[in-house]
Amino acid sequence: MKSKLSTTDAFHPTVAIIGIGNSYRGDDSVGLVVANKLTHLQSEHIRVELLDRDTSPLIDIWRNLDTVILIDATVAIEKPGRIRRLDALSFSFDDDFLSFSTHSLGLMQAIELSKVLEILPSKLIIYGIEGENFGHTTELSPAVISIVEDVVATITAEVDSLLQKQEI
Amino acid sequence: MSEAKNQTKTIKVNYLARVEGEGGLFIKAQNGKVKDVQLRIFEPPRFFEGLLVDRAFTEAPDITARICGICPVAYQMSACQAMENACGITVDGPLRDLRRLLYCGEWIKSHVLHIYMLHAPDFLGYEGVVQMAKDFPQEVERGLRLKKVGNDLMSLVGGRDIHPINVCLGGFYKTPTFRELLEFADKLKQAHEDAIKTLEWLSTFRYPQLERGYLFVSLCHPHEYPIDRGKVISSAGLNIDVSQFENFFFEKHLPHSTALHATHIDADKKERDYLVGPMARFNLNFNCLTPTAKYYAEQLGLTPPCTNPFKSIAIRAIEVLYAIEEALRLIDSYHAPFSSKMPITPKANNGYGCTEAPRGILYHRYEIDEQGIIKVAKIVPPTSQNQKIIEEDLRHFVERYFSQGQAVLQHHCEQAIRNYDPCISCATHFLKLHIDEE
Repeated sequence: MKSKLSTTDAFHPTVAIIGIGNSYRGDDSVGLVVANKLTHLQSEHIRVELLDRDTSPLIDIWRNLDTVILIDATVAIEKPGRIRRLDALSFSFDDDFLSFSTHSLGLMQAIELSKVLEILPSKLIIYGIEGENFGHTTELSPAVISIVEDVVATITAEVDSLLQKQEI
Repeated sequence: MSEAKNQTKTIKVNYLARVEGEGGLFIKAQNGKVKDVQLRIFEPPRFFEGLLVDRAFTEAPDITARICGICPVAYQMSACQAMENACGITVDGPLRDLRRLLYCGEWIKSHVLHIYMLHAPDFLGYEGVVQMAKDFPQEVERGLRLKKVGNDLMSLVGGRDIHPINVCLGGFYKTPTFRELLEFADKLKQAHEDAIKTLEWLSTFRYPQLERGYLFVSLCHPHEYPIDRGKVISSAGLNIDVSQFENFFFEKHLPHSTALHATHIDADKKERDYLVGPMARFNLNFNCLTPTAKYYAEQLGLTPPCTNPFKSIAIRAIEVLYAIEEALRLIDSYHAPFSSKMPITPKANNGYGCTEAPRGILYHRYEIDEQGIIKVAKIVPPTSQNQKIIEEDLRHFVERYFSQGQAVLQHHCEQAIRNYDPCISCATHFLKLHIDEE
């Protein structure tokens, strides 16, 4: 899946919707699937990005934005398909999670580095969707498929609400 | 730590993190003296050489680009060069310039990421870049800006910055317009200032002392700092065509690592470890740097031969400055090619390619049949060539820290390994350290 907008587009969005994951690792692709279904929201004020296996552009995308909504898969803990909505600005990650790879700048590293550099958006919401199968497949598991439209609807409503508050 | 008589100390670092692959470190010491050092790479073999067999020769650049997320251009360029060599064509003129320009983007991105995000925190005493950014926010912002220029250059020429998709045998699927390149030159001019500030910043670092008598190996071109072509030369006088590489360099399998160890067989038939990468390029090709890059190298006290591996971070910064100036030169002299690619027809033949990945020479050899089907593929990446050198550096370096406790020892081991920006890997942050004493 490709990013729908390049970082050089002359838009001035205030909201970014970013799906992240790996399209070849089963339920890890759910963030990309959801974001792909939200691309119709793209406008002068809304930017939609799909980051397939590469989260290194995160900082460049969210720099100077008001609101960012991230969608990503989470590890299986309780129930596949469970949706968690997290305010990323309300918690910190341990140093153990902050080591860097030459190959990518991970989500947690990007958040913590942006906090230090004071370039985080004022609102950063993460929709975490609990996965079940992270094996080598391009298919989502049934439990995860069943909640995709719910997440799409929830985020659409949240974006509508945000834009109304911003009177856009 | 005690150095009691007949005391044996075994240090095992089970996992190297900040890595894509998996590796560990094992050090055995007796009475304060290092007895054995093994950089254990136990990433499952990826079988790319086998995967390429029976595939079309045109697929090699894109398949091999998937070997590495940080230096895909190097794999593409070595694969293209080898296939084009087999088929009897040489890509020159503006198409070759565009390839070199794309490669400059990769050098900038890879080197800057390593300098700022991975290695600088070691020198300044921080756990990582997040912690360093609290005290050095402007510097980290500068690193992010510079890295983005590298990424953007790769996107402009290669179609995207991760695993570029615009490279093909004979040239490119699509070439950028002169106007696009000209607009990009403005970004490069800003990056030039950042590159110089990077060097000024690095001049304030304190570099650990370690001087070693390395055998350096790199490409060499009569008029250019080596990036995308040249002969293979060494500091011991080797000067060979790429097609002779396997007559002088061999890989062997060692029990402690799934990555092959490369070794050089010299004129006396003796096996020698050798170093590839920025320090080798710098020492063997200093005269081909731009005047500005030479000036700043001299300001930093860097003149050949530089034999302190800890100064490789500064040499990377010199190469960033060079890559920016080279990119500007290539854009300034660019003339749009008549076609985006040269025609290429397969021939039953062997083809050889070698280019300078950010971490050092990357050798490819392919045997293809008359239909262009790959029959044999051989790839020698930089990390397998540097693996023994890394172990030997540790052997010479870590003893001085044995008495300073586990954390200090661990930090210095990590820093020494990071000198090579190894791409097992990519960088090293040890998750677990065990010290077993008898």
